[in-house]
Amino acid sequence: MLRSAWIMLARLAISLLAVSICLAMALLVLAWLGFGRQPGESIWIGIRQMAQVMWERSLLPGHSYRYWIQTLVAATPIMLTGLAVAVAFRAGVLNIGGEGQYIAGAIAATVVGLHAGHAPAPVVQSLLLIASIFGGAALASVAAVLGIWRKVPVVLSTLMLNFIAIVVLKSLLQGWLHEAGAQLQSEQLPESARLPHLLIDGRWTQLHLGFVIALCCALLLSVILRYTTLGFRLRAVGENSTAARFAGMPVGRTAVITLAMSGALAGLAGGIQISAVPAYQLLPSTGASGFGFTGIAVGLLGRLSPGGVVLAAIFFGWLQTAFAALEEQLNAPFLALQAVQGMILIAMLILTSDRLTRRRV
Amino acid sequence: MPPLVRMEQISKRFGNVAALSDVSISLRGGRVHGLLGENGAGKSTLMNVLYGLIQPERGSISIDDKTVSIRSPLDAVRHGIGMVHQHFMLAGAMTVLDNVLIGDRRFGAILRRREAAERLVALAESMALQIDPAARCEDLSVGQQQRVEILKALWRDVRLLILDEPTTVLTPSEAEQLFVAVNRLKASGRSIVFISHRLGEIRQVCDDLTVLRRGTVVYDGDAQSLSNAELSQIMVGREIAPLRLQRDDPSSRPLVLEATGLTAGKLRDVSLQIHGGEILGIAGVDGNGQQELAEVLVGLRSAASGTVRLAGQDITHRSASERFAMGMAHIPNDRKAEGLVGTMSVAENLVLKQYNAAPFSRGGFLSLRQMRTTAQQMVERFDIRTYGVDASVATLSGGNAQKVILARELGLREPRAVVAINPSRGLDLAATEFVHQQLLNIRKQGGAVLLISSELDELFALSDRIAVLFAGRLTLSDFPVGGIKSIGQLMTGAVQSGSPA
Repeated sequence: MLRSAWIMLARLAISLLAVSICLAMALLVLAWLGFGRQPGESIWIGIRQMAQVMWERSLLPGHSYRYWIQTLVAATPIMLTGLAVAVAFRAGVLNIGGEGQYIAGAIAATVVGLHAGHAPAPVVQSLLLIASIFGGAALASVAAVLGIWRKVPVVLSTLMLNFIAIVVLKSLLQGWLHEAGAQLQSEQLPESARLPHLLIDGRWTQLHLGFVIALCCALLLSVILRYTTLGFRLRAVGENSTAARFAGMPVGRTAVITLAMSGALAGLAGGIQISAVPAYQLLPSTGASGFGFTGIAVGLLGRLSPGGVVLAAIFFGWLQTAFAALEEQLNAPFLALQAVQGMILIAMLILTSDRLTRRRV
Repeated sequence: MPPLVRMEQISKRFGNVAALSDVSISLRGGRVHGLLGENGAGKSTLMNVLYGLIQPERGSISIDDKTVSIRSPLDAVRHGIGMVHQHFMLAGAMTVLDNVLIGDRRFGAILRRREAAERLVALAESMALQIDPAARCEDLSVGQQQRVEILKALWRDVRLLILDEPTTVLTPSEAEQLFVAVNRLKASGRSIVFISHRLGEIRQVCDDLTVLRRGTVVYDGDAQSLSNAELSQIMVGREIAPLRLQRDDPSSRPLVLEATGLTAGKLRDVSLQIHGGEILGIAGVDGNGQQELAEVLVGLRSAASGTVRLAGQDITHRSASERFAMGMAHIPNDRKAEGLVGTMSVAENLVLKQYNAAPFSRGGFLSLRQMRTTAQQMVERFDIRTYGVDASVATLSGGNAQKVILARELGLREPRAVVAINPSRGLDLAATEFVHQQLLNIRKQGGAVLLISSELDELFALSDRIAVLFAGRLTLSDFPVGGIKSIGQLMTGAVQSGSPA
């Protein structure tokens, strides 16, 4: 017990150290490039300015709750795609098609929202989310079928299906779902199809029901993995599929179920994002959200455990808030965010690989 | 003449276990030095230290009376030390020549391949290690792959070659050829360290001998001056009591496990019958269909033709988990890869086959408390040494890991039939005895046991009858009337007559 507590503490310290170093390096590079300072001023001034902006966004007590809200809104979709990665990777199924499954979920949700908009709001919203779950699961199942039928590696099929999903989205935006007279976009979802938002101090915030749903998914997944026979099988197959097969477990069926669950989570992210975040419509940019790929980083950073994924998603959400602020106030490029996220992930994977944890990734 | 290599007061701990404590050993030039001991005695650890794979906590190594520091296999090779491990490290898709040339800059250019090939052939001929340099390694037999490994080391002009349990993977005739090669190597002035736990072969090839027990030297001297009995007692530290089996005619008891005309993978028309209270031993060199036979019987592989019956019921088309539920137990060949999920806990591995049945789950939810209670009972009953039922199986020693499998297959319920392949492979003497006792208990309780093993001693001690698998065909030997000779002939395919088992 004491030993595991020490390991937890050590891991936390290492994580914080890695994160701080990566952020410091990012700020150094940005300042060196001239952001956050006037020409001629020293790099240190640039770093200090940017650090100041980020510090204001820190989620510590005493700072505005608005940043918490921004953070959690940004965390919602990547929490779900991160959970999708976690469940799949835990079962040894390398689903890297979160991006495509997210798009499939968004499309399914939009179709339902536009066609069932006249029904009572809770009904439309439930139907819409369920549709997104099935949309994501359906696309992932294609990979599962290919894997079992023709032994196509899931890594390849899920990756390729991402591109197919993007093409399908574009053609739908040009055809069936195209809003007449407008640019390449679908109609907006009706009010009844939009997820409720949180009310704070008498004002509607951006924080929506989807965040709560994502948290519930994390909890549910945690329960499934720990307390159910399905979770037991999933872990056994993921850790040693040969031994699982020798124990008489249906390895193929487990992989199919896992892929469907994983796709469902990624699809749900798409449904929530469409119905809870303006502009409440499908856009070409829906196909370039990057949430699916960020989900891989979030899943790995969260060490493939649901609790870890929640924390990692919130952290990445905060990074997004902070870098948005840097862009807004100091004109620093928002794209630097992705570089920092990548750096942090790599640093964490290096620092925590094997030595302390012994869990395979 | 001073010794070629001297290792002095080497100590190494793994966690709380002293793998080596103050071990000193001298290896003389032009001699074959045997290293004898049980599994876990420290033989491989000691040689891994010499080869630079393991850094000792204390101790020194000197070569030609000069103290050297060996921090990696590269250093070792530079000092003229080569090692052939139990598990080969060959690039399967590449040719023999390519594998030998890996890392050798002298023949890097394409133009000089022919010259290199000629030199390799000449080297192989001179050491009785004939090999085709153009053959792809994955197409070679295990014995030939071992030759490639030895040639790889010789190519680098080693003066001392370490062979780690080289005969475990070989057929008796391949082993004989290896001994010829070892003698040639010795005649060429090289030294060999020969690690083994088999007395016979140590006596056959070694000049000097060091016996290790639990990380300390318990004998160091001439390989021939002690008797087998004396040596085995030194090695294990106590007398081995041979199991004496009361064999009677089991055919009066009901037939439990029966296979007729099984054809699957390598298997050709295999039939066998095992009565209650009987152990049928299957001898044979690995790779003659043992794995297929076990898999077909327990339901992991479907038969192209033939039937399997358990207690009179046709189970040919039942799944592995259905067969388990009907009383079939399986002790797989490779406990780490096939039997256990290393990262999961002892408790979880114990219920690996029953996690979705009462009392371990209800309505799709695991009953963690029941799992733990049962696991606790099993840990006590099978004397599984573990920090607790929540410890991951990967932290257990080989013997204790095997006990987890035994508890799962034989302890959670009374099996009707047991299919065990090499159940004591890699285990020390005490654990081996435990495994044997468990199989005999099943026999006493009236279960049927199919014991597939590459250890003839094990088969002789436990079996009521012994059949031999050769090239996928099963032939019953005249054991226990006949001796090891007739079985040896069947194993090598020298005779193929006989009746189905």
